[in-house]
Amino acid sequence: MRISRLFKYLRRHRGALLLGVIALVAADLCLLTVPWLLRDAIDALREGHRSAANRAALLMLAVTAVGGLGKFVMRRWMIGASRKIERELRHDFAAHVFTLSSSFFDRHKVGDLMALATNDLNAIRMLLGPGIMYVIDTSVTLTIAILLMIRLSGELTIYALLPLPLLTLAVQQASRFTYKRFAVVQEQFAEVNSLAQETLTSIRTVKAYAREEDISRRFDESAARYVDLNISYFKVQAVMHPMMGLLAGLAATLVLLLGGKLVMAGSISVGTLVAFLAYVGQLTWPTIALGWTVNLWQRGLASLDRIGEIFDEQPEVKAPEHPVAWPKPARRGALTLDQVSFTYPLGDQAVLRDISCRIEAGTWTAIVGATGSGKTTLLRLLTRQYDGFEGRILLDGIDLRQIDPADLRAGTGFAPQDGFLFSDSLRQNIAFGVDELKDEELAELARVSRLERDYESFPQGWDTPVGERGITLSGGQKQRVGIARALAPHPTLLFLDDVFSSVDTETEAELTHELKRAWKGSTVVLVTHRLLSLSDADQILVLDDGGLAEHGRHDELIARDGIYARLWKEQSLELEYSQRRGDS
Amino acid sequence: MTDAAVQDGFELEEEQDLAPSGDRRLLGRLMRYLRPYRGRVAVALVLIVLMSALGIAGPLLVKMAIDQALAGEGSIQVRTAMLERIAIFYAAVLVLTAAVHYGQIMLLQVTGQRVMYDLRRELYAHLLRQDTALFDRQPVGRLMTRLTSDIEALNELFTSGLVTVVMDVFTLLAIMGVMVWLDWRLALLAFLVIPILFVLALFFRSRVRRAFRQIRVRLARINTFLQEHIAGIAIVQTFGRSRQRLERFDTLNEAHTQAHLSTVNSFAVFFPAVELVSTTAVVLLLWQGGGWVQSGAVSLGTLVAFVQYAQRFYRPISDLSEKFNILQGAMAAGERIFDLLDTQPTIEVTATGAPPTFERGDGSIRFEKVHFAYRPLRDSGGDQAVPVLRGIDFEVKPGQRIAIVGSTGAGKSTIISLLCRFYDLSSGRILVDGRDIREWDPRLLRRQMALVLQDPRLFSGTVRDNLTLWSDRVDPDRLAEAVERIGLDRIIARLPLGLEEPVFEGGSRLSTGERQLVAFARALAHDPPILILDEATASVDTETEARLQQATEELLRGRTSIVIAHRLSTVRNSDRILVLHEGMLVEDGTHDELMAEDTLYRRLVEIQLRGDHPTDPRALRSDQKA
Repeated sequence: MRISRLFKYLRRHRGALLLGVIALVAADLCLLTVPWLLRDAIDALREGHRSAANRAALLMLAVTAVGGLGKFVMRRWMIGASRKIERELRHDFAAHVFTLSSSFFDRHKVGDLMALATNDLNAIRMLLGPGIMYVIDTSVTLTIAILLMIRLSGELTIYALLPLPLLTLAVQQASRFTYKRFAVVQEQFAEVNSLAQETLTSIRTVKAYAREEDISRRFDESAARYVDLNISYFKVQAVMHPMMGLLAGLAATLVLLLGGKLVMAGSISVGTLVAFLAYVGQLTWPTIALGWTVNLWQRGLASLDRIGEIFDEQPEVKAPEHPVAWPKPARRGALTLDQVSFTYPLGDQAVLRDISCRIEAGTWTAIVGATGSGKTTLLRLLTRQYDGFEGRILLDGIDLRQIDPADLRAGTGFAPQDGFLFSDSLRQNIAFGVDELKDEELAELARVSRLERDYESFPQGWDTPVGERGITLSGGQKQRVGIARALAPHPTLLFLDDVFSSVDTETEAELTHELKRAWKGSTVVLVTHRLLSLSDADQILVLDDGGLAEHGRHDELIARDGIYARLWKEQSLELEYSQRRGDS
Repeated sequence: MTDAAVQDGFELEEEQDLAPSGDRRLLGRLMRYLRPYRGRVAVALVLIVLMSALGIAGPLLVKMAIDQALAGEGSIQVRTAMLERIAIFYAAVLVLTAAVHYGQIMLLQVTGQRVMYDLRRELYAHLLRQDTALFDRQPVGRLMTRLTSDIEALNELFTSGLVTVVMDVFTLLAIMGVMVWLDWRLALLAFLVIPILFVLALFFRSRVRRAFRQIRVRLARINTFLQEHIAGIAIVQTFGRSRQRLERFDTLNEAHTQAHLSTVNSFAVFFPAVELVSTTAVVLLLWQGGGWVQSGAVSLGTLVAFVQYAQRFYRPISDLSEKFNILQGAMAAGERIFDLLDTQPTIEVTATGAPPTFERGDGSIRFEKVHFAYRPLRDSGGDQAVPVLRGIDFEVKPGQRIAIVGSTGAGKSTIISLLCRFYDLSSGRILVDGRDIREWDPRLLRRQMALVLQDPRLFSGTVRDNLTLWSDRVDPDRLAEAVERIGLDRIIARLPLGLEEPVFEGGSRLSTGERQLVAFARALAHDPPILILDEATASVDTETEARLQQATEELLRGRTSIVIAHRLSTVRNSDRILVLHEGMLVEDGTHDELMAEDTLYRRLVEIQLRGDHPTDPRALRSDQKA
């Protein structure tokens, strides 16, 4: 059963939940005696026993106080537990999502996952807190109140409960309608949403065709339809709420009329009638809340299903069953690719085709090729972001997929193209991959990544927050922070994905020089579009349409006069041209 | 993948504290949206007041029943008849209450929905009117949040908030009024607890107000963190930092839970306390009032009515306190919406009202000393505005076909953005049909041209919708002709519903090449004097490219056109080729002219068209064609 997913959380908080339930039942019991005491007081007054009336009144105060205490305990522990379970669910969600592989994130948009972590999680919390609370509250109140009412007068109880089946029926019908109409409303909402999203994303096309008015009109129509559907949804509510009030009120009227006759006949006292009216009043709210509770449960269970799907996802990239250690002293950083082919899980075309090559330990290898030729994908395989490739990748002779992931992560560094910084301080971003970063180490990393020159422009030094995705930094600064971050754990293997695209050539040269000096012995694999700085690379891999078209040293490739030579000439021509114009 | 992911992103900003004066200003502004519906709102308010009034009838009728029927004088028959009359009257009151309640809900919900619609419409139209630069700065996800959840939150303010405040206040007043009317001594007795209730409510409010803001801010932090880490999961995983980041997440998560627990405690104390206070009122009534009943100063029925009223005291007060959170959230949402509505475009300002009638221009274009720099997104220490175009001068005569070539970052696409007036120039001017583009209504200017971009995105809708873009300006014959000339008819024939076949977001059913053909046919169907292709054939496979090449020829025939291309093989048939280098126009001439001299163009062509290269079939093909 789907709710069984929640058992482990419920079990963990069973103490608090049990206490809450007991307190709730106790509180309901106490509060339900108030009308009874009211009866005693009124009948006593009618018969002229004022002291008895006063006693009943004081008892009422005491009972309310005890009932209040019970409700306090219930809220404090039961609702408190639901908040704690929410925290645990959120933790488990994040923890689980963090283990999933890139292929999962290709299928699930960030926005969708976020909706799960917010809306759905909240719906589940509502189910756990108020949802459970109201079920217990309603059933206890109904049972006890009806028992007490029967004690007071069996006949009158029947009258009072006459409209109840109707009420239940109304609630049931209404929630069925609500559910159906709500689904339609949600669909239309999605349409409004995607219309807006698409047009805002393609705003240039909209503007270029001067189609603002037409598109606006279309949006208006869609939004108007949404409003109409929403109104039809509210019609149900508009009928349901007054209807419930009416039915509950009719119960009170029946009690007043028929109970009044009983009073006049002398079979019950005025106090009993008043108590009855009070009970009917107390029953109204739980019965009305029933509809709301049903809704709460339906939504909660639906959300549970959605989140459950994510929890059932297994990471594609798994830790091997018998991990092979790749300990620090043994790390050399030699890579062997043996007929590696790869198609993205959702793709229909191979992105990499039959790539075989060797990258020697301690060398500097560049991967070049046109956009879409598979360079970044190759890096993703080498950093083990995807596992579903054909062929073999060996790291120091060990199958990449068999290496202990902890060792693999510790021994490799990776800097992505856009830097991808987190909204922390510069220091925290650079220290991302290590537990602790000493000031001297930070200074060294800043020197190597040429960040120290920019230090002056950071208002709070290394503690300057970089903003969402590093928005306060320039493109080049982001890339260099990304490089420093990759270097911090002193990796044996360093993967750099086009990290110089926003860095000027001079800085690139300095950075490369520093890297080669300070990180001597590390293997560096670099994706780049800048061929002019590759003349002393140990090896250049040229990808074309997913295949390895050429490889070798710069001189060899120039001599070969293939793709690399052509691209290189193009770039050097442009450089030459710039210089010539600069001179003249 | 990550960039797209961020686009879909889910944005939550931390909210600022609103000064009380800010609250009032905001409310005033919100009320303006109610003005068109003031009739409805007035009626709804009357209904709410009526409901409060009807709501107090119950205890009053019970009192009458007890005093006049049950404990009254007269024969059983008379008293029974009296009781029946009271019961019928009660039932009538209930039916009336239900009717009024229905009317009130409908009126307010419909109004609330309409206000939302108005606001959403205004906001969307406002967004479409914004300068393109706004979309460079603001992620679409954030704009979407404004259009959706923020507006829904405002609706709560109109419906829930309004009802609660008005209804609760009136119910309270009505109960107090009827109490005084029934018996002022008992009323004073019952009123003794009101100050305590208010003090309680105020105390509670001040406690939860802070806590609720804390909750929202902390939840925003959790969500920002989670969103950032899901988007950057590759970094988290390749650095092997899942555990450490999760620990960070846990501290945020914990802080959020703590804030919640403190409100749970506040609620846990507040509700029972209010109930206790209202029971105290009941006890006071029974204690003191009991004496008055015995001395005959007060009837038993009156006392019972008072007890019932006293028990109803606390509802409105606890209601008011509980709704407070919703209202606060709505105010924060309103603030964000109005912030966006207050952003004024600089280019699109003129594009309001009905556009003047379209007159087809001759298609001439002139750039005069055009300089341009993108404004930096934010003051960011390092980045200054980098000049992208530096003194561009050229002229395109009607019907001429111009190619712009140059390396990435040379400024080719910027020329087009400026021509479409997505951005305004730093200096110089651009003339279309001999008129400065700043004098044009931007919509009319853009209708002189059609733009085909590198990444063809389709809109959800049918194929036809995507060709016409929902315009009735495109007549069906021309549409059919365009489809045929572009060669899209073969693809459409394959679709079960033909032109009416729905395509989905991003156009997933059609391949990139097919989508590009749709974009071509769209441009052709609009039949503008000027056509612009920005790397339109760059992202398709070689097979489709041949078809696109053919389509291009069809598209460009007889029009002024500007074609941006990285592959030089596609531009040699142009009337003129402009070579752009680092934001400057360095060469300008026909293919033959440029090939005749030692130009950058010629050397680029020589490298690219070294013909015999086996891995670049494009070069081969264009040679064959030539």
